[in-house]
Amino acid sequence: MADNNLTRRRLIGRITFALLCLLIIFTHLIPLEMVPPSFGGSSLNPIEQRGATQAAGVEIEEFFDPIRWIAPQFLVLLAATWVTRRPSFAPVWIIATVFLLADFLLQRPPGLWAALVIILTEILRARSRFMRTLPFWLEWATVAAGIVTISVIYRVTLSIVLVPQGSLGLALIQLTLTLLAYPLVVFVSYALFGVSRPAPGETDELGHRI
Amino acid sequence: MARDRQQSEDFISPVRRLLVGVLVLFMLATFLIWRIDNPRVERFRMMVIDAVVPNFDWAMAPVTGIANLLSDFQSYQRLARQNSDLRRELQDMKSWREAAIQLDQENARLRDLINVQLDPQLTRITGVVMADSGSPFRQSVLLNVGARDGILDGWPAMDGIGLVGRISGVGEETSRVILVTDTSSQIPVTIQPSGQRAILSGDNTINPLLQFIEDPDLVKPGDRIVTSGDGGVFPADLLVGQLARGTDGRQRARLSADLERLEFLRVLRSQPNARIEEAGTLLAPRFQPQLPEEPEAETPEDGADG
Repeated sequence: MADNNLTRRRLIGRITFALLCLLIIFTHLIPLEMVPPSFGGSSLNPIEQRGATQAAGVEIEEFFDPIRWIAPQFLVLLAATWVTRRPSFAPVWIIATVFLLADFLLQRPPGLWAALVIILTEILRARSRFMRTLPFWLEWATVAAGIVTISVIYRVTLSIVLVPQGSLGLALIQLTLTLLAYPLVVFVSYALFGVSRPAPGETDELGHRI
Repeated sequence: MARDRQQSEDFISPVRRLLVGVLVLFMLATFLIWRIDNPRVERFRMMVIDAVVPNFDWAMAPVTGIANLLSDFQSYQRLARQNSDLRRELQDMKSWREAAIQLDQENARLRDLINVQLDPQLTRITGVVMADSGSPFRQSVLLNVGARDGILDGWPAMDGIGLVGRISGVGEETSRVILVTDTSSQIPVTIQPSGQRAILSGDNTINPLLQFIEDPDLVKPGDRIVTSGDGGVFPADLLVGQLARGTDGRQRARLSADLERLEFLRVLRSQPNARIEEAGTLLAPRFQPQLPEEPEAETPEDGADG
């Protein structure tokens, strides 16, 4: 009975994780972001145009760029958070499937980012047992270092194989936002989905140490 | 019963590690294959998108609708100002309209005189935007029309007014439009009225760059930019936008299409132009040209037009 309970909780956790990942991909795909990212302002000089009639004189037309923010990479944050805090909820095959799907759907080179995320999550998974005793800022720093590392490897690899990439500035802004959003993802995972770090020595229903 | 879980993890970990290694290798192999044999993997990507995204559609349409509704509501406060602007513009437009009607009549008379036939093959298919690229580095949208509707790679897509992009990737039910703002988009254009040729190349900003203008002194801000049809991919004379000088001093295009509100796109069935490559065929065609008198039962099919 207790064993059933445990496996059921794990199953629910895994399904929640997979659905959350799909939800994030889905929100990326909603067609609301069809202009390139920009912080508003104007990148064009005003055009002086003559009116149709002689009396209308010269009109000055000013242009403003539409504002479009860049979203942090919530998908990789979610995977990192869950793998660090509850590794059993985020098994590697779900991560692999979701990230390969995301690579295909979000127009990225397929496979590379997925491979890097798998490596990162496996490293975090191996350390999750030790990381649960760390203070939060150290956990944050570890995850941040991991994400920065795989981002650098990703960019370097793409430039080695001569794949055209987005601008560096944009990538840096996105990376910064991603790192800053980590506490938010942790909080939401904890408050809404109960993904907390097991306390040291906490046991499951069978008396096993988690 | 109280065995240490660490031990069991140690026991299964070599197998697990092997499997994870295989998984990572598989991913890297996918990447390498994509790099080496790009078109095949891109076709596979289109297949995946074709299989997955239409399933999201039931949820995507209402969410998009609600979000657009909200942003409409936000813009409500701007409406009053916009209204007065529009009134003034309307006054201006009335005089333009008179001029346009006169020109139209004159045009019709002249066409009649020279007996021009407008290209009957330039028909269009209307598609609904289903999804965007999902990445700030890529500018593309997904349409709900695909190979089923006869879409081919390379066809231009327009909103009501101006050029939006070009079909790149066709699935059975979906097709991807690379927007002109994407960094991989390069389109030959003509700047009117001076007739200067240039390349419109996207740089991931809302105003694409105009490169390789033959004589930059001959163009001025406000000039119309239309596609030139060079290279035989695009039909000529599709409106792109207006020339403007960017604050960085480079020539840019102010797009006529409203990229913020892409909902329906028209995909033009463009037929490849006859390319003149050798002088000899100009003088004496190798094949007998088809004469219009021949009884041709088949007319170009227009059934799929929306």
